[in-house]
Amino acid sequence: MLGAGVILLAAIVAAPMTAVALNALEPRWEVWRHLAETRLVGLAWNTLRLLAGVAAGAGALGVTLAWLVAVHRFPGRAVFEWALVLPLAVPAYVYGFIIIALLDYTGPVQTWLRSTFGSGLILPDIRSYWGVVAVMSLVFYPYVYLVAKAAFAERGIAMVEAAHSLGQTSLAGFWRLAMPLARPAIAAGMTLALMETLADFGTVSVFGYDTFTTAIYRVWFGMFDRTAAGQIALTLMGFAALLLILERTSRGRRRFGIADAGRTRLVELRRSRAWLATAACSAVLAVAFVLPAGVLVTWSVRALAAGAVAGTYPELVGNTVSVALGAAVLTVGAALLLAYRARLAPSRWLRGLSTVALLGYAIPGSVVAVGVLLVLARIDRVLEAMAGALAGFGPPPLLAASVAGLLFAYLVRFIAIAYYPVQAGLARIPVALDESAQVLGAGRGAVLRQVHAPLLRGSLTTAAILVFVEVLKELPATMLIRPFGFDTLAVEVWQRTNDAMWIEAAPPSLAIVAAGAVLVWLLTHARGSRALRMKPR
Amino acid sequence: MTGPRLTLDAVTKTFPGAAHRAVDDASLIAPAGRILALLGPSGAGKTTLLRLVAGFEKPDAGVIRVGDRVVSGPGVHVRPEARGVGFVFQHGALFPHLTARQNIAFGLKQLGAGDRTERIGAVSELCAIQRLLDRYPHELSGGEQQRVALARALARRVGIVLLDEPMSSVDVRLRAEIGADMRRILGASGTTAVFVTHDHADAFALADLVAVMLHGAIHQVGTPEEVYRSPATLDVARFIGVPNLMPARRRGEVVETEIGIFTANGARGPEDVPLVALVQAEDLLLEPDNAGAGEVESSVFQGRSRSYRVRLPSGLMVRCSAPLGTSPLEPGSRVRVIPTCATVSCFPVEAAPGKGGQPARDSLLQPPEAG
Repeated sequence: MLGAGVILLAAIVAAPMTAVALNALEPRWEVWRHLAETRLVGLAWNTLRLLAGVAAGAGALGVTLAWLVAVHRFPGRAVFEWALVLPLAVPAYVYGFIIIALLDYTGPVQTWLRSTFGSGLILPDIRSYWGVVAVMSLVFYPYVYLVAKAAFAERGIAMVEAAHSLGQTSLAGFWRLAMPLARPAIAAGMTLALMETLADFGTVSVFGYDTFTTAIYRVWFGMFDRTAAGQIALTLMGFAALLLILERTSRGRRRFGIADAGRTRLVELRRSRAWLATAACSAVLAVAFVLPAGVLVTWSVRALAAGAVAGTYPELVGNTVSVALGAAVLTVGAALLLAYRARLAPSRWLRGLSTVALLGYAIPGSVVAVGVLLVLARIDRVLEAMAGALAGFGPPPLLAASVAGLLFAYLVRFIAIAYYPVQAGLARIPVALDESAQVLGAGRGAVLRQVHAPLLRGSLTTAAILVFVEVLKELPATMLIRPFGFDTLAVEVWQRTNDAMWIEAAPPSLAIVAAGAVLVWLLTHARGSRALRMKPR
Repeated sequence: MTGPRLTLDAVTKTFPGAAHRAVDDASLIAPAGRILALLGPSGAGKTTLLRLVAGFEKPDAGVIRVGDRVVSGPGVHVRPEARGVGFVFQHGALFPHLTARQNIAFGLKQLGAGDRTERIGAVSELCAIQRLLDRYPHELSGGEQQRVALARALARRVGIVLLDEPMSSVDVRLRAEIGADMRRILGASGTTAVFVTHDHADAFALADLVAVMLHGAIHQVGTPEEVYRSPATLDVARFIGVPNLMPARRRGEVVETEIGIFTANGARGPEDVPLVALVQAEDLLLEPDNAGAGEVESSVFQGRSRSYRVRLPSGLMVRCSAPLGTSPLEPGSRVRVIPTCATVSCFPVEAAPGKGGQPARDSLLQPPEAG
């Protein structure tokens, strides 16, 4: 019965991607040609150089900070170790609009500069390629930082000491030993950062920088052309697949085992260098987190004072929390089903199905949205036909543009995020416990209730929080699928920023950032394998 | 109360994709109320056999009976919880979120509260864990966890208890003490017990009967003395102890080896057929003698004894272990090798093990280097 559930789940999750692919089988060549002539090349070029820029920026920031924090001791290190993850709590589009609001021609910085140095002073336009790259690098570097730090913490010190013992400098130890060893981890982190870049909709649209995601949105709502939107979505999916393949091949045959060196010692930095390290970490943290958080707080206070907080704010929060909660429960439940079935009877075809089910996270939200809409539109047509056949019933409620459709998209997109913590939690429970319970007379349901559920509580909570915060931030799928008039915090932020109403955009943004920061704190402070040591007293 | 007899009849199990049978035509009787050790090197299929008995795995062929009841056989597979069998896992497998008391109560759901309390009281007294009942597993030592796990299995009043490497999580220094504890508990409960171990010292100390399992097959079942003194096959001999395997030849009622003449235990085969005689290292005495035939090659201090390797004129190496107190012999000194036993076990060379890694004939005569 569980097996049937897994098959159903894989079918549900794979349906949108299949729909996008099938959609391309009935190509409307005139649309393609039009796209190709006018935009496609430009879109591809924009997307590619954005990927290159963010890879360089986020990669350099993430690796440097990880090397500093993982291997060296300097003032504030213990705080920086987790605080440097905080920028992850700031959605790229929120950071983007803050930067534009501050640095635009009419913004406070340029205004002040002009009043001080005369009106002749003109800064380069922030709404540019470099602006987008800088913003995304500062927001997405934690993905690289997290994995690189873990990799360096395992081997870094040993590599520095090995370098010294062979008459080399620490820097040589970094470049010639630690970096090559950490490369697979760094590649994985960069892939995550680039996936986010590909999926981003809010930032590029605030900066007026055209990519595939903005094109999908424009073609869908501007031209009402599903096929064309589907085709752009397919191209975007191709880019994502290419990234994954690149990551796999860069890993090659190499598998770098984890050498557990126990408690790692740290390299003590001397006075000036220590302060330099502190200054560097502080600067990044200030620009990427303290600045946006501070600005949001200030503007939110100002918005409150001016009575500029939307009257619909409680409704916004209600909508957001309910879809996020719904998605968290649904997704964690589905992830538990997948992971639990795999535990009971690991088999090859099941692993294949699970991989299919987990692909969603690698697919940008706008593609998922297009796929979900294609599937739902098909179902709606069938339902309508059925209702037509059964006279006496009114037209059925439409699934496309419904909250149910939204939850469907979140499930597809975020099931992988929920799956990994749940699976890791299950893996920490020895099979001998299942068998013990069985031989003591407990049925399968009793094992799940009395043994697994209490041991998994931590993992399930983590998974649910992860999905909750991701849904809070999610923009492209929400924008495309939400029912008319159903606004969430993220949608509100986007609409206000689109109208350059920065102050009004601050309160909902602050809510999102605060939730994200709480999540980051929880995740960075969770103790490792607590499941088997917990003491419920 | 005495537990039922456990009978295995030609049980075979091959895991999908595996080249060899994990359990190969294994037949075995564990007598009612006795303790049987399943002894063998890792990978011999002992744990698989135990899991087959418990019902966690289904045999490909063969019959398993608890008492007279078939629990595994053609068309029959009784679920583990319905077999009347308890299982103690390698590291106890206690539920980490439950106290010792709750762990024991887990298997007693069908009882009323009064009966349950009484049962827990009785079993914890038997296992001497009364003062541990309110602790969580991580607050218990390895030996204490093992006793709670045993109590959890016994509390269900099962007739047969299966134990997978029960001593593996126990500190070496406490092994003897905990082994004695376990023997006392199992004896007092009257259950039939089968435990798996790779350590012959544990098997000999704890068990009434020892079944030696090699490459999936059961080679010998006997008392510890029988298995040690007269191993049924060369493989059993090689696995237990550090034996010297010496070329031998039968002459009438006796066998002749390079170090002397012995009465052949279970004399097999016709005269002049090449045989292998098994001489335990502690059955050889070394006497310093400048005219002796042997030359000390090396000597290793082993705490309670000293172990020598001595080269005989034929080039054959023999191991001897000398109790402390005798003055140590320097490598290079000449010695006489004097057997202190009158009887040895002999095996025809052809009857060397036919399963698994077949050793070459020469290496067969040289015992493996053991530390």
